Amino acid sequence: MFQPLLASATRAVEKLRDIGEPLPDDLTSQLTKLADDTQADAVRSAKVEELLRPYVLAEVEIDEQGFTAGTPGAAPPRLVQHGWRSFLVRVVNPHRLLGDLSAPSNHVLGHVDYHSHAARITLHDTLTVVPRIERSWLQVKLAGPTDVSGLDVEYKVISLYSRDGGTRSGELTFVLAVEEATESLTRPPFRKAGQRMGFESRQYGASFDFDCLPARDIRFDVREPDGSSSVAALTVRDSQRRAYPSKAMRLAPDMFFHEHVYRATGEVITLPNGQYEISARRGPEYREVRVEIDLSADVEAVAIELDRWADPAARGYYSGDPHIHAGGCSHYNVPSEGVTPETMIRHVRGEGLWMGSVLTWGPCYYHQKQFFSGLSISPRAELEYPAMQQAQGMTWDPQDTDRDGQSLLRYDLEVSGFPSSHSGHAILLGLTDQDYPGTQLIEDWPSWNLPVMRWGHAQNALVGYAHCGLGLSVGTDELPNYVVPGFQSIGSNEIIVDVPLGAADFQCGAEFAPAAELNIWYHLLNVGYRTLMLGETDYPCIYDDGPGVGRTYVRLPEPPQGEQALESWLVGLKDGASYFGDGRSHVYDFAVDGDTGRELRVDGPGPVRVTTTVAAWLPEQPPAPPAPGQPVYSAPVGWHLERSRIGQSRKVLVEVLVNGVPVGSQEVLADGNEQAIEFDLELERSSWIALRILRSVHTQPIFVEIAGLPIRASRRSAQWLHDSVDALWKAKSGFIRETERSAAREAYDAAQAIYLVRRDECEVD
Amino acid sequence: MVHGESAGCCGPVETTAPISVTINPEARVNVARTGHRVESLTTGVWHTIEFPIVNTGYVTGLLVIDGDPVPGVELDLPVHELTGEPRQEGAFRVRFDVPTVVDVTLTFRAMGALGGLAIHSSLHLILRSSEHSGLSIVH
Repeated sequence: MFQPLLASATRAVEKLRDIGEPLPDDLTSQLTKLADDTQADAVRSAKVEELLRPYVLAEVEIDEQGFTAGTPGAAPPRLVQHGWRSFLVRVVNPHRLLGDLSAPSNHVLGHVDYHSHAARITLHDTLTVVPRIERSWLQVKLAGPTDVSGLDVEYKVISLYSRDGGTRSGELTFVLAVEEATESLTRPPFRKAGQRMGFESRQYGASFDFDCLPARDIRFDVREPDGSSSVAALTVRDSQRRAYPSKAMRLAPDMFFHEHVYRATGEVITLPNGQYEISARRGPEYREVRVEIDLSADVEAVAIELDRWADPAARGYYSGDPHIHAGGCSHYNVPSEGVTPETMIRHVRGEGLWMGSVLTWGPCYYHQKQFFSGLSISPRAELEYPAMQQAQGMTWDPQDTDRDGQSLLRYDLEVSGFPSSHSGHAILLGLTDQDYPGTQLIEDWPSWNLPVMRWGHAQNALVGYAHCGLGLSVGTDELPNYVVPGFQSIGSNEIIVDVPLGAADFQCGAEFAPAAELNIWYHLLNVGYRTLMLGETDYPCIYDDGPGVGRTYVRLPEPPQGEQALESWLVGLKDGASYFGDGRSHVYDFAVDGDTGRELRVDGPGPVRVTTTVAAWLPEQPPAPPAPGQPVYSAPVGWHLERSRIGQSRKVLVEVLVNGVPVGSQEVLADGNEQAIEFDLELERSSWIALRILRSVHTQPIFVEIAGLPIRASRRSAQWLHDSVDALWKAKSGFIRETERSAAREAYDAAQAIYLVRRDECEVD
Repeated sequence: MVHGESAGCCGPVETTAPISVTINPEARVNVARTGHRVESLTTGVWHTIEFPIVNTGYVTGLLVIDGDPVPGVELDLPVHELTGEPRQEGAFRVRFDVPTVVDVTLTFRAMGALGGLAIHSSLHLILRSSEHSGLSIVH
């Protein structure tokens, strides 16, 4: 049994080396020599055990039933506050059972986020989790393979993270999920094994008095290029790429699904001494700044000078994300059903957004609706639930910054998780009332969207559809294409009924493949509708990274401020210049014949000149392939300027579209500098014109009507829309209440009739 | 908001084989235990260990299996040609010289994607053999 024991020991020692806590070199070399030693196996096995014994924190003995018993090993239980320490675990398995070993962790996340699929708030047996948070100071994880392989003795590696400094008592418990256990559909193997152990009165855990070396508060002096203070996203990693604070030991506003945390100028992160790489960013208008620092005892603060490469607001364009959430998806589910405005505003500020529309939706509806006021707000970024923060040891004071007032929230509604959501998730922006008339529960709402959209319009809200591309992919990148999708998801679905009936204003995207997102928009524009398109994130459902992964820039005469900030932003969106995308490229002052207005009337066919100023920034080189052993480079999903890079160059392609078809293009250098470009076009008929850098930015169209004739640019677009209504009915009608179905059918018929009229008015295919 | 996990990723492979190889849409190779065991291995006899290759990355080229020599056991680790098809069957062979227990680490590499960079996955196997022996597999 020497060879398997040595292999297990070597793997454990290599794992400790790989995670940055290597054992002494001479120990490793002695292990290596034993492989070729000619002594008896028993002698060599004993030598392996003797070499590793000083580094074993816990021994785990597995009995014939698979129950474990832990005892302290010889390694001193020394930890470090807000840092990781790793040790060996010796697993004794005389009955040679097979299974997976786990070490349950009492981390904070387990108490503040457990999954409930109830629509209403559920309680975790208590009204408060504060005492549990206070006790959740130790995070435990087994590093590397967790399989118990049936050997008499094998070695594993365990890593421990202490939230607290000083002496703390703790216990390590191990659970073995044996392979022979009967499969359960409702209890995973580990839970089932833990439950079995819970039925016994034995002591399973190994108890320790841990000595936790205290860490220190490191202050971050975040500065804009002009020296003003602001909030940034800071990612702190050690040499093993581990993020700090540990993700499972975070409490809002630090989120367990982020690598980064958001900190304002003068705020702190508690870190142990060590070497770190700190990267800072404030949304895509900034280049990432990296600082490598050795936090020795005399370092108290880290200076971060942000590197802004684009300032659209200086050009009059103000950013917004119309689709972010404070509850559900990656956010906490219970007990708070999400986070508060004070946390959301920190995230929005940290991404350099002017407007963030926090949409209440199904899972968090009854809790989050308390934050709806019908007004834009810019609260102080206080730490929420002070008692929880105190228990967590987060006693730092939030700091105000010079830029706080530039970011605002507006609570509104996404009709998602509602009876009508099968027909696409509707976004209602600028509501004054978020309870549909006559309803008390979500289940009472209409089972198709048109009545909801009209109710939104009655409040002067702007209404449209979220994550437009979902369900509209047809297996081609061609744009436009004429393949009718199955409408089998929750993107821009009922929009094709609502738009001709005047009940939908926009769709949101910049999240998925352009063909899935833009095709339906181009067809609507081609038959004369003024449907808008916005960039959104659906944070943290589609993208966890932060608000503003997809974003929309609206040109306004002055910054959106005050309680009516959203309303002014929406007015600019409806009537003025705007563009949307990933924020890594920008299209300013898009004009046709010098006019930046959205509607242009000319007397007859002929030449027009399109002018604009474009700025884009890419690193000089594409991302490098991964180093051996590192995760393979994952191309950015969805919209990302890196996907627009032409070959290995630093150039991207700006295209000008007429009625959805590229009629000109120009390569531009993505070095961050603004570049004026122009195109000379011939217009034969009334048309819409737009600019795009595919997968990064797209403008709203400028509509050019010639001799007073409406835009009727494509018979095939009208036919596609007509036929799509049939596909939509086939996919969705079964979800509509019997009592509402005839009204829905009438609306579908009316939409189709309009499309047929417009088809016949088109001059060209 | 979007409900549920994105489709088509990371589900368990349907097989009665003891291990499975999956290649995800980003060409990342993963070899994993399936939960099925191979029953007895007899000393002196070649045993074939089959495994499915589930290829969602349309990866073509060679799938190479590497393993350091371990005294007491012979490993026949053939090179597989990935066709890019969603599913292929693969296999390697094991023969014990003497009754014993060994720990063998096998690394699976898809050489056709990104030159094999970071597109490998390792699995260590505890192989047992006696006159009436069994095999167990650990990832």
